[in-house]
Amino acid sequence: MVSVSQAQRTFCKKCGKHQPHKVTQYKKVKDSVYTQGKRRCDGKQSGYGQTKPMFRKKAKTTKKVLLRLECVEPNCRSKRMLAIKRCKHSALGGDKKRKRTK
Amino acid sequence: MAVAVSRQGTVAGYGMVAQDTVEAGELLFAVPRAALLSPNTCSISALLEREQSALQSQSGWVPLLLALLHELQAPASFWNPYFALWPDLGRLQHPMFWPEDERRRLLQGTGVPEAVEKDLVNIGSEFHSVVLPFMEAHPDLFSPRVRSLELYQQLVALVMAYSFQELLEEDDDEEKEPNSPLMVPAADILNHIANHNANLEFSAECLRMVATQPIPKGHEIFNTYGQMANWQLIHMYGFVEPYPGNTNDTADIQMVTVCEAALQGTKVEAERLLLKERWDFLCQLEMVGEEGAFVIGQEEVITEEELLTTLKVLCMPPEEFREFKDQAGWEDANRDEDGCLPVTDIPKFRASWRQLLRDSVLLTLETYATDLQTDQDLLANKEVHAKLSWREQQALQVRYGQKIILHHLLELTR
Repeated sequence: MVSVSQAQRTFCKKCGKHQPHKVTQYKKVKDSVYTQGKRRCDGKQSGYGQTKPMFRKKAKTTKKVLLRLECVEPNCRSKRMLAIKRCKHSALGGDKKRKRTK
Repeated sequence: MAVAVSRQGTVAGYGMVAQDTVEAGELLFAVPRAALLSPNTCSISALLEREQSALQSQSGWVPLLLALLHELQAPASFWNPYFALWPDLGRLQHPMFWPEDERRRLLQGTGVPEAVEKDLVNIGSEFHSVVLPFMEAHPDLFSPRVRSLELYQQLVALVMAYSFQELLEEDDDEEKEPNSPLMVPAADILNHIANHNANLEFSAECLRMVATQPIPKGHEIFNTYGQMANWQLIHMYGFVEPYPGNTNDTADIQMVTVCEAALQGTKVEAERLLLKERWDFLCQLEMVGEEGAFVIGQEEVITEEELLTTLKVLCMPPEEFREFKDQAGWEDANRDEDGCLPVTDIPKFRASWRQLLRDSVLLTLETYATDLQTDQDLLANKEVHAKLSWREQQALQVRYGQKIILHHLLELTR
């Protein structure tokens, strides 16, 4: 179980400094055969040797979770992607771990 | 045993049938990695590994094909029982085995003849430049009867139709080294339909065929080969799903055809030059290419980003284009709805976009040898249809499915 907070202060490439960012989960378009690899709309490729865009009989059950960080600064709003390790379940804004008091 | 191999497949050949009711998520069977047939597991794996740089080729399939060629002629191959279940190599139904004129005539406009022609050239060239020399250099491993281009071509078709590929790490559209295909006994007996009920999962110890839907007793178990259009199914697998079964069917509109349609709308040289500028800009953005196509599904446009950007850039007023061109490179903050274009949105497009799309569809429909009505009549008339050869029936389904999608677009762009 992985939980990630919905807002995070982190480095913004465009602003050049730490800014608050909004964190959302990147929803990849359904894993259509056509989104495998960049060249999904190439003209009819040779089937001999074809590996993309046609992947064969499917496989993995987990995905790497992708986060989309959006800079909150109104003139900036630049975005970047961050990948976290594979996991079966992840939650955005899940239980916050409380700091232990000594 | 929960499953049984049966000749009751949907295609000529074998299929797998549930012996008892199966629940979604249930394990149907597992294949140990030791049973896989690949360049790494075959009995000449060390040699293939040593020689791998000499066996490099555009397809990347040579090591597997050599593994198959070797094991097929090995008297006591571990995989002999597996080979016994193979289809008759002399009776494969892929269009690459059809006579050239028949293939061209029946599948004109579908894109299949062009793809097959490329295949045949590549097969011949790799056989003569890499495979045959290798076999002749190791005659004790490849008896003379397997040193045949005909057999090689049959094995290529077999690999197209029966092989599996372990999916690589998905790094967000990164171009990864393609994984070499491999053969998975038992799992490759399953046939495919769009509305499938099983799935193959790869793990460290074994490969698992798992039900993805409940399967009633006696029903066939179907794997998925991916979201395949009929043209892809016939090209790579030698079969189609008859209308309306294949919900993954698509029609292509060549990108250059859209450019051509736009060109038709120009009257003076200045307009033509501007069009060229717009097209070159789209190429720079990697939205279009000379060889590419826009792919339209039954419910949505698959290549939504490419199509929307192209319509936008080709139809925008010249002043807007100037400005747009200068600002290129900065990711638009308005990219909310990326990744989804249902065809029902098309009537909402502005008139110029709809017109351009419509003209492109009309040009595309002209590339077929016959119109939709002709194909529709063939399908409707049961007597006439029954007299068609198997190939004619299959080709009809490929053409028909594409034309239906294209005609739907015509309605949406009225």
